[in-house]
Amino acid sequence: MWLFFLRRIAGLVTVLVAMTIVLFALQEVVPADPARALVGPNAPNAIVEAKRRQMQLDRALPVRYWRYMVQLSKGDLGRSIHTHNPVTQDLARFTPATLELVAVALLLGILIGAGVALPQVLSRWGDILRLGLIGAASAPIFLTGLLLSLLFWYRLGWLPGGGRISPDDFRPGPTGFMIADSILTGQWRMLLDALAHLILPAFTLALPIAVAVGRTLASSLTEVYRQTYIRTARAKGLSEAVVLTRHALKNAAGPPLLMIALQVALIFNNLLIVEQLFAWPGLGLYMVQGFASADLPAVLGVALVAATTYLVIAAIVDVLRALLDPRLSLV
Amino acid sequence: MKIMRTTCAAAFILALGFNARASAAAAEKVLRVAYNEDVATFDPDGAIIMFGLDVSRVLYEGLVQYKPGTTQIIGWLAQSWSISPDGRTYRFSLRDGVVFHDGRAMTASDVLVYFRRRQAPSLPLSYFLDGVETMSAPDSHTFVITLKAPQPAFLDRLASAWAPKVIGPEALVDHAGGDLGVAWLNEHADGTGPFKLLEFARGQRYVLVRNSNYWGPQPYFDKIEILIVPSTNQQMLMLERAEIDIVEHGYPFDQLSKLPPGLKVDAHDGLGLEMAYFNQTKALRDPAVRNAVMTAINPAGWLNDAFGSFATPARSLYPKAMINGPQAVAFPTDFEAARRAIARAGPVSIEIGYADQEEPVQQRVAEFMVSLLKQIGVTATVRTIPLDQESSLINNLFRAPDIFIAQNYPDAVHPATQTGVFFETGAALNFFGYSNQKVDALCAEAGQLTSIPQRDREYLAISNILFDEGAFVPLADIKDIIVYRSGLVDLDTRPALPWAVDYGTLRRQ
Repeated sequence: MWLFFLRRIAGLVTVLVAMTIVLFALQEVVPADPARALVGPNAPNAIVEAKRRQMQLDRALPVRYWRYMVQLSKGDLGRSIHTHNPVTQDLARFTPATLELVAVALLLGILIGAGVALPQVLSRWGDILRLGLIGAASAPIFLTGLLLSLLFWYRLGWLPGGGRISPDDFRPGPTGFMIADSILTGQWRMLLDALAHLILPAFTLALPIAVAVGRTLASSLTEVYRQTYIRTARAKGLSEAVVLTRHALKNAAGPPLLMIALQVALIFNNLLIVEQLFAWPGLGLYMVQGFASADLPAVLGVALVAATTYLVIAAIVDVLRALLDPRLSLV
Repeated sequence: MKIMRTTCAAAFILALGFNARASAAAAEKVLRVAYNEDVATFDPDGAIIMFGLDVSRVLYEGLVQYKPGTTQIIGWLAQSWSISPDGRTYRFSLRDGVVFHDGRAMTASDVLVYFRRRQAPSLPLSYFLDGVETMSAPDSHTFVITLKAPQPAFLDRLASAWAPKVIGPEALVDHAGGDLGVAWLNEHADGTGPFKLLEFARGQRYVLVRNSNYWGPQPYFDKIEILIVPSTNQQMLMLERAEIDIVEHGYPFDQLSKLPPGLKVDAHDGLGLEMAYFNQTKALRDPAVRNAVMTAINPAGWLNDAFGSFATPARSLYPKAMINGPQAVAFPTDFEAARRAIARAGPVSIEIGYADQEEPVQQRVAEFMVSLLKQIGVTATVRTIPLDQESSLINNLFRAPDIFIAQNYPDAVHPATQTGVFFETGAALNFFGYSNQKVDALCAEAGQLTSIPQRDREYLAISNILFDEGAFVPLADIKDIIVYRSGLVDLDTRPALPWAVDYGTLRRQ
């Protein structure tokens, strides 16, 4: 098992290094000028050249890459061109919003997915639920988000249309996570407000996850229910709930877990759209602003966080699957 | 059923909380505005920003400014000023009773310390003070700048939207650090303006509160909240729902004639001239082809469809608010001659690039041009050019588009700031590297003239040369559009202050 774990870590580091090389190489292909982006469009060329030298953009690409990696090894991701802040500081500020949204979306996705899969296997109403969910998730995420926003915010006024918290006088908390902070500081109105802001973007993100997880879990459960040990469990007189929780779900969990790991990668793609649509101040918004201002340190920083998160979740899922089915750790 | 009831109850409580907050906010004197993007910094020396100029000018103040609705320069922190007969020395008498946000009184020494910071080569906007020889503060109320040579555009530079604006000692002394206070000023402010920066939550919102020690009239609003809302469509809906009060930029032109009830539009002249830059390296190398293309892209053929009544044909290569030329630019109009010229030149294909920062409207203009060019036998395609790639077009003119259309803004109202940024050899936004020694010499000559009618005649002559050569083609004077909720008055917009109202004078009726 330890060897399996170490192999995953080594794979994670290799992928991250490869990604930094690709992103750095892209700089040479894209004709953007970070120095010009920093000083503004009207500044004389002499000022831009001076800024370029100051940013060491006049150095060869391998030299800049080496310098970046040396800094990275010390935990320094450079300084954002757009915000002028250290990228680590910006990431610390924007990441909690994204993680909070992703966590809630994942949780919602899994709950809805399970809520659709179980009736599908256990009762005759499942197919109707499944069709409804597929219908909702087959629309592009931009459209789904827009329609949800138009209905629940613009028309009905039940939920906020954007942002993470109302422009109110809430006290900031220690973690940067609104739900946790509101509970830690005992601001219950802030908790309600944060939850209200989370619903629409999280639900938009959760729909494709729910479909993927629901379908995988349903087919996996159907397969498991055909096994002889399920028949044996029923023959022993165990209730249907016990059969499901103790025997069926445990054995059917592998494929849905793998699907959740795959969905994390999709979530990061969808985040760029959802955070723009709902003015959610997270990494997606930060990255889009970074693109617009040729802010390579910011873009690299976000890409590293996204890739690390994805790889860590994928590794955790692999370990969980190996724990559920020890044969996998031998592969 | 129980789960259903619980869910409905939770949703009701959330909705109740959300709406209660909205109605409570409406009762306060709070102004809510949305920006499409995060402001890089409010540091007046930090960057050319577009969103945030109105916040910047109520946090910080310069020596002089443009009078609302005009291009006339009036005093700001300087009550009056004089210029020496040789045009080199500017003596500013500073206003009494000016106090920084940290409570310290402003003196000429503070102004001097600040202007020295602005000159630091590491700061992007230091070029505004190029040509300054010395600066001094002979007494606590007088600040003197001496130039190496006369610069008739100097006072305009000091009145520009990105002009030097005085920063206080809390930033420049207490938090100077090793970077002239740049890091601190990223998310704090210490100016003299009518509002103080209370909160800077990057990516979310900025909150300003009224400065009770302000030297001038107290602003109407107690608080200004700037929300970051990337989608203009969402801003429009928020405006309709009264969640914000103003959309300062990007409201679609085709929606302006059918605004929902309760909204009003302010359309005023600005400095953003719509221009086409011709790349004379490829298909447009031949003057006859250029002339034919100019026949086709004549704004008379598309201006109304693209901008409605919110644009007029350009009168020269300067925005109308800078030089109001006698008449609209005369484009060639003979389509038959244009067709013959293209037929003689053989198959002509061109690519039109447009600036992505104004994407919907620029794309529309480009597509109108494509269909008009087709009528003279030119095949045209369009592509967007990201803002950060515009300045790199010059690095490979063979891969660059043949025509680039954009609405760019000069630094100030003096025409020298237009020629110096767009038309002169090596200018920052001279995208295709146009170079003409005669034009450079004429620009240098015109830049020294102090008689405004004579100066404008010289600059218009330069505009004619550039147009006749088919290097730069003026298309349209587009109005700056601000859509706001009825009841707001005294917006006090300025032609040289893009996408901005004056939060200091704005009030609710």
